[in-house]
Amino acid sequence: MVVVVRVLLRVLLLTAAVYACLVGIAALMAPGSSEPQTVDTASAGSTLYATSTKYLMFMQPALRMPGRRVIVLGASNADIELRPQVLGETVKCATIDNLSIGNENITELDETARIALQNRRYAHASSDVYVLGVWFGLFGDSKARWNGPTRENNESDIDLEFQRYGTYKKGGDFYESRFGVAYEPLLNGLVSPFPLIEKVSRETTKRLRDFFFIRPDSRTDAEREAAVVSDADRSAAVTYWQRQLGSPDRLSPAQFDLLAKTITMLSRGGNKVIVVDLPVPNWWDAALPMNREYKDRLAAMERSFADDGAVKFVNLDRFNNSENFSDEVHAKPSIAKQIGQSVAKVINAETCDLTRQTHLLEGHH
Amino acid sequence: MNFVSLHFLVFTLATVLAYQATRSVTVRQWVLLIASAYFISTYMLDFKSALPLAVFLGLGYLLVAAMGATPSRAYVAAAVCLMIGSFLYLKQFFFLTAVGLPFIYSTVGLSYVLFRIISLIVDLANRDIEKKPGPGAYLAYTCGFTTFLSGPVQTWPSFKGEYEKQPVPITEGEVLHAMSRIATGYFKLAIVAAVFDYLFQNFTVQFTGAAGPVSWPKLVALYTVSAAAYTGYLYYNFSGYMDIVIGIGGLLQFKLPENFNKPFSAKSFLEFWQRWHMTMSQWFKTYLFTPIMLAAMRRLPDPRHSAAIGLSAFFITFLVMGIWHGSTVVFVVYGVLMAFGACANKLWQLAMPRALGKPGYKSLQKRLVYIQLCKGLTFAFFTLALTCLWTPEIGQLFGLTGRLGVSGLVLSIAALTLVFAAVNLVFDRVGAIAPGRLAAVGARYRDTLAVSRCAGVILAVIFVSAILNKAPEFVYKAF
Repeated sequence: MVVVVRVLLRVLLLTAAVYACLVGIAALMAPGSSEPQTVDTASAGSTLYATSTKYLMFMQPALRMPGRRVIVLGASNADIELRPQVLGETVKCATIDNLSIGNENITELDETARIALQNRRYAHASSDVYVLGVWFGLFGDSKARWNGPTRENNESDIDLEFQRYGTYKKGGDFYESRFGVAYEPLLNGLVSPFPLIEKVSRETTKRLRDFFFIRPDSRTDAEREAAVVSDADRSAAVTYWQRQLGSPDRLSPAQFDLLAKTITMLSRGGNKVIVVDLPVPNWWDAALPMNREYKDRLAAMERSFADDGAVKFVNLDRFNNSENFSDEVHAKPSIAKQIGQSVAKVINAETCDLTRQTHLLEGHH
Repeated sequence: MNFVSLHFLVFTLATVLAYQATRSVTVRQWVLLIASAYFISTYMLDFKSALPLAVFLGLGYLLVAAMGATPSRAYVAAAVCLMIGSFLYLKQFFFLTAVGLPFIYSTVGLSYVLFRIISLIVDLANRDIEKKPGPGAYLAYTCGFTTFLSGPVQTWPSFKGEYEKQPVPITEGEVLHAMSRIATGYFKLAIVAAVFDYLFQNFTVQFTGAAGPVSWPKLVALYTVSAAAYTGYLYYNFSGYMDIVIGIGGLLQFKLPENFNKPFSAKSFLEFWQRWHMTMSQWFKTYLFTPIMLAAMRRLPDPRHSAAIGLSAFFITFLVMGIWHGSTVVFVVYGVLMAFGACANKLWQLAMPRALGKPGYKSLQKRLVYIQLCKGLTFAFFTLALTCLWTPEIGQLFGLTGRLGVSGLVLSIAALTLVFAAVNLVFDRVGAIAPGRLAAVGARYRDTLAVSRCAGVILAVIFVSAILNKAPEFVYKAF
């Protein structure tokens, strides 16, 4: 027995030593304290964290920095059309964070909102602005959207990430660090070799995966600007979204109820919520009944929040011309910039200008 | 209990330490029994779900215990049929689904328990075993945790020798050797097989329902790489599991038989089955093929019938072996494919010497191109037959083969043959150079390498499981 224990100890000691070295390497590669303390999930690929959800989980401390924030939530079209750089050109009274996650539904948007709100509470923030970029593709039932061998309970990508290393546990509304927020950096540091190894494996197999499995949209801005969406592209998009949404013609009412709850949750305690109805090409109106259903339900939701001064709905239907889009949902770069500028004006009017007026009024009195 | 879990590691460690803490044979036997009982209990939902297995084991023991010194052939036949009938009923084969038990129960390991009970009955009847096992030894033999799920199928004399031998202190070399074997197993099961599974999942999703229609050439290409990935997955998953249990056996100083011997270096389908799941193949040879051959030759002693008898025996044996893998109709197709492969191979072996003459055929068998093509065709045929294991519904299987068509299947088998032959040729050449030089270095730093390998595998398994977000399951336990 002693022989077995002795050999086992040698193995465990060597394992621990190698792991400690990996923790050190990962610490060197992780975004450091000298880097900007904002979150932009679009930059995930260029960091150690590789994916939006992993990046979001590890970058939570950046959301705890003091100061007013404008936090963008939504899917890939929100990411493209509500870029922090574009919004920041107009919005000067707050820092812009982008927490968009591609291909999400409202369930995952709600989870992202909870991450933001939970971390902003640590910063005692009470005057943030949450910008929710929505469109009908977000309203698919989670049973259709999140299924597969590792999603027995329809776990979203965020769920999988927070459950992956065992460093978080479900507490109250959302996940919290297993041993409390004080130990979160330590725990995240201890598991940092995992993203390091994942990053290395992703980088080394990227070409193979791109070739065999994933078909990333690698078009340049110029190509996207010149893109023409064909009938075949539209037909493929209709089939794809029917599968994503889990229905040929209906959206999930539960997802609308959840969005209303998310808005209510975010707008409590002095925050503002701006719900941006992001444009989609107008050929969708003839292709599927879902866009109409979405518009009707969103209008009803807007009416239900009519008396709530903290919630504002923004309609961008004027950008719906099909020629404005490089595919079935994403605006061409020039149009995306215009959309961002339009939304930035609304954010400015609702936050910076109002703040200025309040300060002036207070000064006057 | 998942093999890639802390639960399993702690269980194994506790068992090994308890086993090695004593020099008493009896105590060691009790440790094995208790560990096996605990291991099996983790596959049961509750007491009721374990009842069918308990009844099955009890029935087997009664049949063994009731055997006289010279049991009649009728008794042996009835006992074997009773066990097979119970097995078919509990496994709910497709023709028995209407009369199942009204509660959920576990059938994990049942196939391998059946193998052992039948071999006990037949070997006792043939007097290959002199003394019947007692209840403790019977349970340890049929339900030992290292072999319960999927073998290896150990013979009773081989098991008894290990089970009753006098303990000697384990050496550091034995521990390192066993741990290296376990590390190799985990590397195969949790990393190589997991990567093949990842490839398989990502290829199949591109031509199954969710992804929508694909063009025929793309379908053939995707099907071919999916099938190859599944074969890789199954082999590394199963042989990795075998390495783990044989390694654990090493820590318990309990020698288990090997179950794989480079199956993809086989030059024919029949040779393949002497290298893949060897203990099961040997079992079928001993308890099905040989009795069929002997019985048929007794009835038809004319040598002119021997080829036909051999082919029939091969057909029946491989058909049964295929059907044994699962309870649905798809596995009948799998069995027919296995039988077809074995018979076609045998016919080739009979026809070629006649066509080329014995010297001509021997000369052909030495040609490199012929050898590699034979290896490639063996791999390709087995790979295509395995489609039955990943298309569980017969409609799904026929739908896929219908979309591929005969030309798609032929194209696929040709591509697999040629690619495998080419890749194997490269590996053969590299393999012929590398081991000699590496072996010298390996011998010098054997202990350090063993410890490093274990540490490396521990880290790699943890990382890969976390990145792929799932601990790989042992796939063969379903069969």
